[in-house]
Amino acid sequence: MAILELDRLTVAGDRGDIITGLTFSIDEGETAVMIGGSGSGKSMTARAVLGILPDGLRASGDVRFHGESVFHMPTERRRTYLGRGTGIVFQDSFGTFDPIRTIRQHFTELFSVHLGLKGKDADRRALYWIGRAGILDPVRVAAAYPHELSGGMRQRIQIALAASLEPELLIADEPTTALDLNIQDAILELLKEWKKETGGTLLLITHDLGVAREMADRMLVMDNGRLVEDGPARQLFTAPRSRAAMQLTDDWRTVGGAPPADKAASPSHLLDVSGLSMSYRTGGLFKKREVRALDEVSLSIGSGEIVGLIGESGGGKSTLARLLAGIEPARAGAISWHGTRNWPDAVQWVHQDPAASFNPGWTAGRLVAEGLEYRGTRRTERERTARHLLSEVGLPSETAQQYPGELSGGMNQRLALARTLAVSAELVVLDEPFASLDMSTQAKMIRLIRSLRDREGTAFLFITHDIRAAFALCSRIYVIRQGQIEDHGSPAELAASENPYTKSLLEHVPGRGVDLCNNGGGVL
Amino acid sequence: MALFLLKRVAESAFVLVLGSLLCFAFIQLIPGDPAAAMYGDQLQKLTEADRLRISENLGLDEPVPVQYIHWASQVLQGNWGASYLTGEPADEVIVRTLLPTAVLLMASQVLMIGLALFFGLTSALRRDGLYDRIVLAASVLLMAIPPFWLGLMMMLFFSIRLGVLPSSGMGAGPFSISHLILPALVIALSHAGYYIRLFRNHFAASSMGGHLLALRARGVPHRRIVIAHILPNAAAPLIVYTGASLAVSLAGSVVVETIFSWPGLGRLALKSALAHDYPVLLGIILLSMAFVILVNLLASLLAAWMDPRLRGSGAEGRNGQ
Repeated sequence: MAILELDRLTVAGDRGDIITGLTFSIDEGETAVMIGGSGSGKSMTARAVLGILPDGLRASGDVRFHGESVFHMPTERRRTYLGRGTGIVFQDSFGTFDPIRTIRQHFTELFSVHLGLKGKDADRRALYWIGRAGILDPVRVAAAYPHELSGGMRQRIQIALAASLEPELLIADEPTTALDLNIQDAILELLKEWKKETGGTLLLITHDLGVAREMADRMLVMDNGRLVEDGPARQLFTAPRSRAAMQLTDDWRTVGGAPPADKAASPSHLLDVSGLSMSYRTGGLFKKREVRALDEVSLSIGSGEIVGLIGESGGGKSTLARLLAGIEPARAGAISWHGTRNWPDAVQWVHQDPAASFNPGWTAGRLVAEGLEYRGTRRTERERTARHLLSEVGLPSETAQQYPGELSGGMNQRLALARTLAVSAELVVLDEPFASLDMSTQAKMIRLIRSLRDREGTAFLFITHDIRAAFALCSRIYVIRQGQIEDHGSPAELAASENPYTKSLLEHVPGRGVDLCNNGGGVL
Repeated sequence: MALFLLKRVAESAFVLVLGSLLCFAFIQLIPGDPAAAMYGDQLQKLTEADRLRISENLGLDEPVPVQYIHWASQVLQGNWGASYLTGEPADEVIVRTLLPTAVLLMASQVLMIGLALFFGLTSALRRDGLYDRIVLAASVLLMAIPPFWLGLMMMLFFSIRLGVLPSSGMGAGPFSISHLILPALVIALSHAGYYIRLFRNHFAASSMGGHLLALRARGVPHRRIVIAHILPNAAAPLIVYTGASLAVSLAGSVVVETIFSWPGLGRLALKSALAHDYPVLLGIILLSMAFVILVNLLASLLAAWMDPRLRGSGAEGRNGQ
């Protein structure tokens, strides 16, 4: 029995169609995963199904829930459909909460609107559902405000909010993106649990084939606003038919594969860090507390080497990046530099969200050559360099006239890399460069970083919580935890490591069971 | 919350002391002689020795810091000094003007906040439409008009041309509506333009949050979203601005009360400043300052009570992952 049917659903804006002629249906009790790159129309499909399209977009065709047209429901019926028929979990867990309401109030509002439940009954029910989401102290969390909870906690609460009205269909739109891997894992477990207990239907939207593989009964592949492949999950891996699906599995191999062996096996030392420590003071009027961010960290990076630094949020990764880039002085320890130019001039730092680190009023061309302006290079010279560097990182030459706001996340990452080339950096520190990129863009970035290393001999320190990408890109990886280096070695060595923390990190990689060190071929 | 409260109260007390010190110092810089206030036209008959004797009697021959300490300790004991003009205790002179000014301020605040709430919310909900643009143009025009000119024009039109409203005075008392309308309206209108813009932008910002989309997706009715989510989210900053607006209106009352001969604090302030009536002037300034600080303190406490993010002490308020 189909619970949700889409019949030639088209969403049109002023600049043309965003979704074109989407037709598929989802059966009761099924887990369908909709996969595709950013801008392929996945999230817009979810919004169209719920009838909450942004202003200025029009939907045509039809969406039917249990055979009833969603677009023609009267207001009261629609409200029931939204609350009790379907539930939604969004990606951005912070922005979807009202900042001045407690978690409890988020629940009781829904209970009062949809179930007519008020007072103590509603409170009890809220506590019950917060507990169901795997939260150990529901009473404290119920009284908390959204900003007092971690991203993973908020995502659990979002799922509990959606589940608390006992919907038949749960739509989860990128529910795990930008979360640490172990938290991603816990969120996926929670969704599985929900399904097992209620027998409900799940529509999961993701760009990550690992997540898809772990959850899906059925895969819907989106490309450029169209459904290009619809079939059982296994088929996508064994016999993809569409070009987009083949591209996805190909990118997955790049992201999930292992790096080709380094040509220079023992590169000369570029940077040695020994006994680096850093602490911050926090606290209020009466007591000051010292938080140790880094504790006696030692590591080395060779010239032309790609080194990874992995670990969970709050482990000290970003602090180390700031110290290496010379943004802050360390409390103790030494950084010794053997490169041809002075430290930290030759070290460049690429911000996690590069667009946020650019002057939005400058064109891409000027941004790329910004470093040369400070060196007093002439303007015509700078423009020539900018054009050359944009092509080096695979951006079309007309990008030079565009502004950062007009470029996609992947293009801005490329722009940031081009900036480091302009000042011929010897070491580039990449701070979570893939956090907001979809899988295909990640695969392209991995190829670009490798080719830059080969051509320019630039060394990279790749800081990430995404273990899969680190394994794919780096020749050596450091594991950091609570400010201390916990483990260290080549990807193959780490995969076989006995260190309990490394082991637990690797366990949470989505789509695990995939051989991380298998070079390219056998994803399955 | 207790720490937040303590910090805020301590800050307020500090500002009050510092402010009174500054005012005391600046008043000494006003050119002219207090003796002129006391003796008026007979000043010409006084000899140099008489003037010095008067100064000494008033304590004006002492160094300024000594004068300040003397004055401050007297004020703390409830002795505000005597008016140089009338010889009455300064506090009695001031207290007489409080009720008329309070009535005028309340009336103008209610008018102004009412206008700002109504036009701010309605134009935020119709963002970028024709209505929004008309309201924008009108509020910019209001911002550009100086209150004394607006006061004179309204007086000309309503009192002289139409003859429907009295042009000056308070009539039977501070609650005489017909006398109150014009001055209250002038104060309200001269600040309304700014506040309409401010309220509109806050409402617009708070009606764009991602949580409103989530609420729609969970089937919460539109009316409830506006009343229970958009309004409360905009309320905290608006309460703070409303507190600040009282200070602005109080300052504006000097001009408006003088134009409309409203026997309030503002007019008394101008009169005593022109006449070098230091005890009264200092009393007015100190009182106004305490009032403004108190209102702002209450406003920020109320805002913190409404918005948990404002209570932050250190680690809170961050989007921790």
